[in-house]
Formats: sequence, structure tokens, C-alpha cells
Amino acid sequence: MDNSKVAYHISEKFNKELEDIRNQVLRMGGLVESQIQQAVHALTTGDTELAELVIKQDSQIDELEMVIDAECTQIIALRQPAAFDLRLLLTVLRVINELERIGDLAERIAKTAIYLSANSEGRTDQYYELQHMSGLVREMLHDSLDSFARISVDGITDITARDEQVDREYSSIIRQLITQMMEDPRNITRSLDMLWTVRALERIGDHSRYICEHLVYMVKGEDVRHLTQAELELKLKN
Amino acid sequence: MNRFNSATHISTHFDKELEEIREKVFAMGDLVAQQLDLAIEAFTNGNVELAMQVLKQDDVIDGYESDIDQKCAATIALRQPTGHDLDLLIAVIKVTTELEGIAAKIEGIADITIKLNNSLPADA
Repeated sequence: MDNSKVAYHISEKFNKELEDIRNQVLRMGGLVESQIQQAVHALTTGDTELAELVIKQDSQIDELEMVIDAECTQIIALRQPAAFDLRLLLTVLRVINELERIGDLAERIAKTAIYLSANSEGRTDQYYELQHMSGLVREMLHDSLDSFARISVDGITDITARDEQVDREYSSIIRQLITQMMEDPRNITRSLDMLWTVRALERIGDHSRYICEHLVYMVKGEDVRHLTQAELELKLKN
Repeated sequence: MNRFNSATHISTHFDKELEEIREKVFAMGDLVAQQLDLAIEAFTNGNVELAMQVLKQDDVIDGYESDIDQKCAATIALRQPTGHDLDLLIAVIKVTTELEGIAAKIEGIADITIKLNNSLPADA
């Protein structure tokens, strides 16, 4: 009886540790989502103070990554988990790496917001498209983190499918920017700043897709990286 | 210094597993370095065929990544390493992620090489 009680306590504590890690990942994810939103807002409104804030807050994300990373490694060492628990912890390591990169991209957008406010001369072309694209990738990220919270890959291909939409919008904005640069060389500085920004958003879409792929590994134990959308759909149907 | 070759493990199988993983990481790294050379050569010479070869070989790198990751996860699960051995295996997973990321960027250079050289005659 005593033994089973001890075992119960140990696993309870282990469960709590896993729960705690998951909550921290979600907190980090929430912070990253808000960083993207604030960075794009700073850019479209020319709010350099907000941009500075985003740049400053990036260190919080870096900090969280290191804390979660250390905790994961420690849990793996102490609890010696296998099967799903191990996959969960390895997945957390990968997911926080993606989140950290998305955080860097948001920081990049914030830095661009500062340059742009100085040389956009009040122009707002492509801001609508930019906001739309930003909304799409933030939703992708949000839904992938939601799947992580639910430990479920139901509907995961609906999230990854949106990456194709993001890529289409990216190409379309790039075409507009190239046209503007050809029309008037004075547009080049602003167009390049806009180009880095949409590129960053496109990369955020990619990283959100990678998070989904990591979740498939966590839930199903299968490595689905580098599959096309059609191959992924086929794999998850079976 | 070389922990992989140290004789401190009771299990020689474990040593062998770590050694195999190490060799695969080196092979993957060599391939990525080679890809970078080829991609830059293709880009500077406008060699579309070479760029296509780079794109094709990227699958091999992806294969290495999946293979190494899977071996690391299996080793952690079966051997339950702690301390340095665990740090090492987790570091390997991170290194393969970086190598794959570098390879994806090299693939981007090859993509651009193809686009650039296919669009040049039309623009000229």
C-alpha cells in the first residue's frame, strides 16, 4: 500500500512537471503572438515607441526559451521518460526553438518599423495586405499552439494548408514591390524594408507549420517533416 | 576530452551507438558544407544544372536529419542516459536542426539561381 502510494505521488509530481512545462510553452507562445501583433501594428502606425518595446521584450522570449529548455533536459535526466512523455519533452524543445525564431522575426519587423517610419514619407501602400498576411500567420501560430494545448492533431492539416495561402500573398506583395521599384528608383529603400517585413511574415508561417509537424511527431510518433501538404494529408488520413 | 571515445561506459553497445550518431552528424555536416560550395558555384556561374543537383541532394540531408533524430530519441528512451551523455544527445538534435536550417537556406540560393537564369533572357 505504502509503495503504491509513493509511486502515485511520484507520478503525480511528474505529471505536474509536465503540466508546468506545457503551460510555460503556452505562455511563451502567447508572448510571441503578441510580439508579432505589436510589431506589425508599430509598423503600420509608425509607432516607434511600440517598436522599441517589442525589441526590448524579445529578451523575455529568449529567457523563457532557456528556462524551458533547461527544465526539459532536467526532467528527461531525472524521470527518464519513455514513449509519449519523452516525445512530449523532445517536442517542447523543438517548439520553443521555433517560437524563439518567430520572436526574432517579430523583432526584425519592429526594427524595420523604425527604419520605415523615417523613410516611408507617410506612404501606406501594401499596409492592408501586410496586416492581412500578419493576421493569417498569427492565426496559424495560435491554432498550432492550441493543438499543442489539446495534444491533438485533429485539423492540423487545415492549419498547414494555410501556409500555401500565406505563400501566395507573399508572392503577390513581392510582385507589387518589384513593380514599384521599377517604376521609380526612389521607391527602392522603402520597398526593400517592406520586402524584409513580408519575408519575415512568410517565415513565421513556415515556423508555425513546423510546429504542427512537431505535434504530429508528439502525438503519433511519426516524423512528417519535409512532406508536401498532399503527402501530409494522406499520412494523417490513415 | 572526446567523450564519445571514452571508455567510461559499462555498455560498449552504448558507446557504439553514440559513435554511430557522431559519424552521421559529421557526414550530414560535410554534405551541408559541400552543398554550400556547389550552390555558390552554381549561383556565381549561372549553372542551372548544378543548382538543380543541389535541390535534389537536399532530400539526402532531410533524410539524415530524420534518421539522426530518431536514433537520438531511441537512444534516450532505451539507454536513459544522464549527465553529459544526455546533454550530448540533446545537443545533437539541436545541431541537426541547425544543419537542416542551413541546408534549407542553401536550397533557397539554388532556387534563386534557377529563377535568375530562367528569367534573364526574357528580361534582356
